[in-house]
Amino acid sequence: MVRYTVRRIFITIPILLVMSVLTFMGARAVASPEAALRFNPRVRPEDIARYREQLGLDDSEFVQYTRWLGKFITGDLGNSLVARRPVGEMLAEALRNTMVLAIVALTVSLLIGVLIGIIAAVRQNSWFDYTTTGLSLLGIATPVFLVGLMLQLVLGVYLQRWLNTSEPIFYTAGMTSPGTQGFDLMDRLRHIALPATALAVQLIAVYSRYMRASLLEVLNSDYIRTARSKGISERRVLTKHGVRTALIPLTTQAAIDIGLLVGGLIITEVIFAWPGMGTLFLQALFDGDYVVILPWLMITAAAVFIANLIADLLYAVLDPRIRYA
Amino acid sequence: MPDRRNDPLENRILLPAEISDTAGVPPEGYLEAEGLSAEVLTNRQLAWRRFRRHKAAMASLVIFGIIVILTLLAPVVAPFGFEEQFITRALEPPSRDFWFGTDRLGRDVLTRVLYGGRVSILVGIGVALASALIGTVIGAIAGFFGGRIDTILMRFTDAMLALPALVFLIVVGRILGSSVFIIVLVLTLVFWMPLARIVRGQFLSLKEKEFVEAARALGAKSGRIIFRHILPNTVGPITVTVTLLVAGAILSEATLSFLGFGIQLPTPSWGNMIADSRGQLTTSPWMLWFPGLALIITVICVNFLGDGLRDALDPTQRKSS
Amino acid sequence: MSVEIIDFSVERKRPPRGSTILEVRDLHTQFDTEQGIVHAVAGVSFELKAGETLAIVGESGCGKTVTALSILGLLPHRQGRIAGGQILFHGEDLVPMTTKQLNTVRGDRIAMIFQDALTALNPVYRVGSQIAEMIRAHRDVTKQEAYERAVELLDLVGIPNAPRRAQDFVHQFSGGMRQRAMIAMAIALEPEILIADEPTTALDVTVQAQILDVVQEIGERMDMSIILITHDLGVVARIADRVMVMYAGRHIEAADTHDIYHAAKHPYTWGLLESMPRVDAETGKQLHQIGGAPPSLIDPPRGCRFAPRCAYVQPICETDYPEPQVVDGSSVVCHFAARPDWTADLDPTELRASLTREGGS
Repeated sequence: MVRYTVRRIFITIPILLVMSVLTFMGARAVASPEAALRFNPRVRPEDIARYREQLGLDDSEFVQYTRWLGKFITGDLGNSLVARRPVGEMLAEALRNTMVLAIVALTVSLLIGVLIGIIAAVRQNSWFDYTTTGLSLLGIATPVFLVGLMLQLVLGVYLQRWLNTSEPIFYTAGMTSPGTQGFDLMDRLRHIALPATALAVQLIAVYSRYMRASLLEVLNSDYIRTARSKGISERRVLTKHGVRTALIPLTTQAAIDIGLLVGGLIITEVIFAWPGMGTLFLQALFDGDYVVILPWLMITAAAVFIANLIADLLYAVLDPRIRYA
Repeated sequence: MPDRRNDPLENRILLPAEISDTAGVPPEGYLEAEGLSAEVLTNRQLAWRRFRRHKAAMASLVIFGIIVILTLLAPVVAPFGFEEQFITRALEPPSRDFWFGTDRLGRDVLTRVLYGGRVSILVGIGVALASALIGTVIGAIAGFFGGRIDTILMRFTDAMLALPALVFLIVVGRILGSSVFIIVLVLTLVFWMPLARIVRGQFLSLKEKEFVEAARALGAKSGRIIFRHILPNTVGPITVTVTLLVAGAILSEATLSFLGFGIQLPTPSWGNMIADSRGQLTTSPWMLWFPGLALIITVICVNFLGDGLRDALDPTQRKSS
Repeated sequence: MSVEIIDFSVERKRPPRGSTILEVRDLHTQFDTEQGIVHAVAGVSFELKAGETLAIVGESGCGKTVTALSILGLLPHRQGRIAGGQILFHGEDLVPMTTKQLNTVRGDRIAMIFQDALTALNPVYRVGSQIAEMIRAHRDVTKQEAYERAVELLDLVGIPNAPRRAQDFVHQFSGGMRQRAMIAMAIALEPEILIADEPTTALDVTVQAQILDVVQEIGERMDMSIILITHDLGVVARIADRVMVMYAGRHIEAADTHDIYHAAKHPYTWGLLESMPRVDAETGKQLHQIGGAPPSLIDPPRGCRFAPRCAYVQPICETDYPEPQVVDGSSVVCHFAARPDWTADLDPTELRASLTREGGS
């Protein structure tokens, strides 16, 4: 398996290189480096020329690309054109914030989704099964931006109005209240509740369907019948032989999802003004800050590859039938 | 996040529990297998009968039909023009004059929901059909010819599937622009992959079947085998997948438009109407509710339709519930 | 197979050989399907005596596996159910028992071997620990002890290098070895009854014989009664003491193995025997096949279920279901079983002629 992992990583390197070329072209196409200067009416053409020279924008595309790649590999990401901060620092902060939101939402969704899936499968065709099936269809059909806005409206605005409190129970924007000192858990929770719920609505819908299908497949298998024939308790049949086996595909799916969420929270972050990767990306896009966009695209792409690799390895660990040579 | 939810590959399909020892029950399709039934017509009737048994799908067919007719006839049925403004009556709640209320610029929300639906549904169907074309061609080539062609095409398909779809859409959309045509084109770029994989799988198994070998033995050319012998047998799975793609495409268009990378105002689409509601969310929530509901109902209907079509056209992949 | 059996079975008085330990009375089992209710087992009765090997024979779909699953209450949840009858184990009815009560019987006193060990064993647990799990469910032993016992059992059923193989997963075993592992699990607690559902169907012919030997030898050594479910009359001849033939959810004939082969009393059994390839058959003679197909179990025929395919069919067969009758020690479900001329050599036209004669006189 070690050999397999090493091989997978080696295969990934050329793919990431190709991606970097595409990324470079894409980032340059969408983001004009002069955009940062456009806002200032007093900028003269000479300034722009000096600026272009500073950034090396007059060199050939190829020279610019290799120069950028060299710096990228050595970890020198440069400074943001607009925010004037080291890009590495900005990305690290955004990534951390995104991961907090993603992991909270994913953990909650997994717990609830798995539980719903188990009950729905065990009580197949019961009212619980039908209700949760209907709700998850609703959840799957409702895009995350709609869920987000409805949550802001109902749990943010209306709830405050009904309870007649001076400040909202759940905040509809940001990660912390302005001016909070240090780490205030309650304040954090009141900020993360709505964005995490917006994400969780979909994830729970998907995971509960997935778990239900997976567990039903297992429960209908021959080895569950064998387990029952052994005289072990129904509870043990369900947990040890049923759920444990049915969780394998779900676990790997969740691993893949973490990779996707690195760059995939754009909408949630926009709606709830969450200072993560998505917000950073859109801001950089509007600013034409290609210095930020380039490593951003590389990181999100790499996250997908890494997560997929982890998912595959996890599968091999959890399911003895899978062997990679 | 990319719409894995509407990726037909992820709609896990379970066969009903095999009950051993229950022979004497003629399996579905048994009559045809015995050569006892009449021709294609009967198959179609059987499919229709199976579809009708799916109550949610039947209801969805009716509702979706009404939505499509109303939105296509928007210029006729809508009470106003979609750019017509009643400045003095801006942000009015639903009333006898404006059933769904008015927006910030005093435009009738009902009118805009109808016109917006027209754009959303046309984009959805357009993307699904274009994806069907591309996906079928790529899948058919890969599955029929196999070997290196297959490997290259499928590697490419997998790579496209691994792409963070929304980021891709934003970047490409920003390069190419945001007319309706471009949006259909860009969405198609991220929606053809599931179809290619399904069609490839169908071709891989069908090309080994006796009737294809017989055709080959009789000297049929590749083109004839593909179009006359294999393709007609893949219509079922393709139809099901394309239907589900419509739902996915409608959602993606709404998402793009919401972020401002899709359909541009003043042309309404459900996505940009919802985005437009953000500023007045607390005071004029009807600007959110009505386009939002229209979007949810449409997507649910299309999903149920796909589900019913799967029961009808692809009975080997029946779901367990 | 020379290891001493360390006795893990609780000291249990075995009933004397020949006494009845299991009696199935008028069992009815149904399944819900989209097409309607399938009456998979419709009134089966039989007895199992201590120490004997009873074979249940019939073509696929005749209800033999469902009968076996009914005994241990292993029907698929929701779809399958016992609709009537009694299953008396030492005189105690298993049918109304709760799962918890049944669990004291399952595995410990009645154990089961399934057809395809690859799907019947859990793919994600090691073979040894799956056997140990069953021991732990019924005996107060440590994990370690149970596992060691599992290794012994694997050795006992003839798996070479058992300590190492116990750590393997089922997909790493060959077909015959898998079935041996399955047997090792079933016999772990020396059950009184071993139900083997087509234990050799999925195997090569040479391996089949070995597996049957293992079942038979261990059955004798542990003094178990065996219910062997099979469609293979060759297997039956090899190890069964008694045979019950089933057709379309009902038993139609039950007799000693010898009698089944030499003095069968039911036209269906005759057909089965004639369709069996024999070494001593005349060369060039075609194998017999029974025409037609088994009846629908959703809407079964009113009279004798075999009537539509029976060469000897008479009007009464299509209207009345025959009651079981005992003829020369065999229990036969056929209207004509008691006739003196009732053998496989009887010509159907002769039957008709003599019936007319009797009716006329």
